[in-house]
Amino acid sequence: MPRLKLALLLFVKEPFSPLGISPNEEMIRFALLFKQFLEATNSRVSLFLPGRLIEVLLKYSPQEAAWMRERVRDGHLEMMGGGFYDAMLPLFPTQLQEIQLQKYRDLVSKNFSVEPSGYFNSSMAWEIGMTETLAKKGYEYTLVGEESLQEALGRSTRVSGWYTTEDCGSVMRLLSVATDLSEAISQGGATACAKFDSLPETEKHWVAAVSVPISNPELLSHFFTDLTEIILKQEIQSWTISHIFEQQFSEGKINLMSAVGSNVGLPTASHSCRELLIRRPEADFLHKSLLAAYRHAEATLQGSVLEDIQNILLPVMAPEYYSDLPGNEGVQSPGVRWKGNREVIEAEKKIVRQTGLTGQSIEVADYLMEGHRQILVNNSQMAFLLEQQRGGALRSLIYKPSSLNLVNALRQDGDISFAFLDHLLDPSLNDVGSFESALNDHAGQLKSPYDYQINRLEAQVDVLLRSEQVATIAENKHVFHVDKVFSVKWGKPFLDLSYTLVNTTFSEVNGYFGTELDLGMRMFDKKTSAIKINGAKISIDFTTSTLYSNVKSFVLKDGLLSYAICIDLPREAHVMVSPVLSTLRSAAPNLVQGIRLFFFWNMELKPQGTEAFNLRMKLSKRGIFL
Amino acid sequence: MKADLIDIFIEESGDDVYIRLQGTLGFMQLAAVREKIEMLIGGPGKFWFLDLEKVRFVDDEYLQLFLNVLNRIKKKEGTLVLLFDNAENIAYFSKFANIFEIYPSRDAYRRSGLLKQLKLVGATYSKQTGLRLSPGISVFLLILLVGWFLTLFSIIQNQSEEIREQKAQRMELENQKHQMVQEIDELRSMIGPLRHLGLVADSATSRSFENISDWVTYLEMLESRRRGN
Repeated sequence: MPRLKLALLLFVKEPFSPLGISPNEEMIRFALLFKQFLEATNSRVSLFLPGRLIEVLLKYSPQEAAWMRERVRDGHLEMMGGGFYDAMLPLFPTQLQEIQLQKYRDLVSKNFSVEPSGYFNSSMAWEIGMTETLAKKGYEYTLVGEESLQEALGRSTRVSGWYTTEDCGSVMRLLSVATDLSEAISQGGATACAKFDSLPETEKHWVAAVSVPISNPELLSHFFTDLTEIILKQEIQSWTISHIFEQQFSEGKINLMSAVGSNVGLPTASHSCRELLIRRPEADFLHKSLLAAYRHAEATLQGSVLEDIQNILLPVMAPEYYSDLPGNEGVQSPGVRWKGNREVIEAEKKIVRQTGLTGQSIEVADYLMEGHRQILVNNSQMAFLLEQQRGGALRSLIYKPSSLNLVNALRQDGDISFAFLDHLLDPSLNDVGSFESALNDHAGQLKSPYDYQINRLEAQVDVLLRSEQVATIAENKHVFHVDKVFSVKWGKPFLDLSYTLVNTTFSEVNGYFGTELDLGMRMFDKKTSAIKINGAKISIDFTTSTLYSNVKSFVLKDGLLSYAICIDLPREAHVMVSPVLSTLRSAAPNLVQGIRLFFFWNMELKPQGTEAFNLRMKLSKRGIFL
Repeated sequence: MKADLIDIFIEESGDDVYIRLQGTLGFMQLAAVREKIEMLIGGPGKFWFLDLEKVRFVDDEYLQLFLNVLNRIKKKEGTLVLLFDNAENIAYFSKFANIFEIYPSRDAYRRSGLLKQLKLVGATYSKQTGLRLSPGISVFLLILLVGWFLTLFSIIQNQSEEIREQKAQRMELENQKHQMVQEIDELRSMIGPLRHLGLVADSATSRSFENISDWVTYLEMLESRRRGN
């Protein structure tokens, strides 16, 4: 029986840290164990480390780094190339792709005296449009999952070896990675041995890409012990990945448009990593915010200042900000969303500082790239994106001094979180459960498109929305003329919102008119968070919803994230406070993603009658003077 | 929705209002552009920068629209500056190149002349209203004037002090002179009898000192004699 030929790629994902703590200890441990593994097995492997981890390795384990450089020189180790922050490149503009690739290439060639020829990213996302960019940066091949090649070839049998694909006059080699083998090796022990035994006999090389778990010391040690054992026990003939191209001929040409990748939380039926942006509105918003910041910087800055801004944006291209995964691996984690938004807000603030402008602006453009325009209002303290085409609700509410996007709750049903999304509800609703169901059903949502007008006043701007809204109450359709006005003072974190509703029909309408805010936040704790209604502190149980009446003021504070929201209601209102929960994998909903506030008033509108409601929102860092 | 047909960006900074339009503007967009522009220029502002660099005009009606906008801004004693640098738009506005102020960028406008720079920092002049200053410039000039007055006052104070000191010194010297003249008279009276006897020659009235009229000249002469002249 011929010895099994394996080209093994070990890759490390940078551990996510909300506070940006560098994984120094983890990398020191990894470098030692990796060296021991290579010495013990005398095997040849390929390695991919994100740029920041290479920098940590060079700083804290210089001896091991020097040893690795020697192994690269004698052909036992191959350094794979990629984006500096292991970015999901297909989602981003070509220039940002090129910066990521060049930065990584410069780092590897300077410190390991080798120009990487293979491109890799841990999510294994691929799109044919990357061919030209990769070829231009000197890459000759890339790794794609076996199932993607099977689908492109229309085969259900195993696909190994490499194929070529071409786009815009450039060529790229696509190398098949055996996903099942990769998973078996990462599980280690008997599973891996069984998988090796089950592989069909072939003269060709098997390719596996295995993630090294550096965050957990025990798992890391166990991983290398297992791997050493497998390679020695199975008598595997190991090679670096680039060696395959010397040993095997091309299997032919292939037209692989895109590969969805792995470990990004997409179902198997997905075809492209872009589906992440469709499935998760939070990831999509972060993506569009990054693109907007990039466009703003491109339009106003040049030279090294522009590079500074680009360097701030590069880490937000990492896969954890777009993957549909929980637990600091994806956008389902409130911490990941908080950090991603924070980085982009910081970049925007720096752009304003560098241009020397006041940052007081209104932009009407297709910010979210959805085919219709939104209104982005900015002052030096706050910013919000108003979707006038979707019921005049806010898609984001950014408090700049704390670099925080408040409208950031992830909803389990995949719906978009809004602030000031209006509802007209049936007057028969009488308990908190029925209110919650009515909001979830979207039955009373006033979501018709609004026409807009921007009124510039002294030190203030009013965005006036005007529309005819249709609502169904007690099986009857009612038409209302609604004027909704957002007023923002330049340089102040205050937002006034006023409504005027006119019953345009000849029948009387009774119901509840209210507005909903889905605020994203971390888990509440009594030490650093508080909710006050009419000045009195209330205790919040984040498992059930609660209804409060005769509310004149509502204050929400979070000392840890440094923000306080105060909502004053000149006309007393009712408020429903309920948690926004999501599931952690398949368990019951228990992960706090945010808080839902529904402020509502009793409304009795005679035919042609008019009602007016308003509320004032103030934001601050500590909430002392609110 | 008409309002949803165009991309607009508005930025305010003091008296400056920067408006950027984007896209292809034809007859379909004309009403929306007119509505939005007229709505925006109804608000506060002095210098209106209308960035049309990323606009492609496919209808001549926009020239009339911008002329109307210019008139409205002039009525408000404001300035309209069109910003673009592409050949297509230069050709489009060529008929009215002398009417509109056209610059490639805001910086180019700022660098374009002293008068404009003055205007930009907040000083404007018109026949109706005379010289008008922005609040910032007014405060700056007020501080400058107060500074000047304070400096002048302190200079006058110092000079008066000096004059008083000199006056006091002069009076003291005059007193000393009187005392000395008295002493000389006394000494003269003391040696008067001796002179009458012909025992003392009066050096003060001798020939060699006949041209000397004061003590300073006398002392100078003594000094020059000491030096051997």
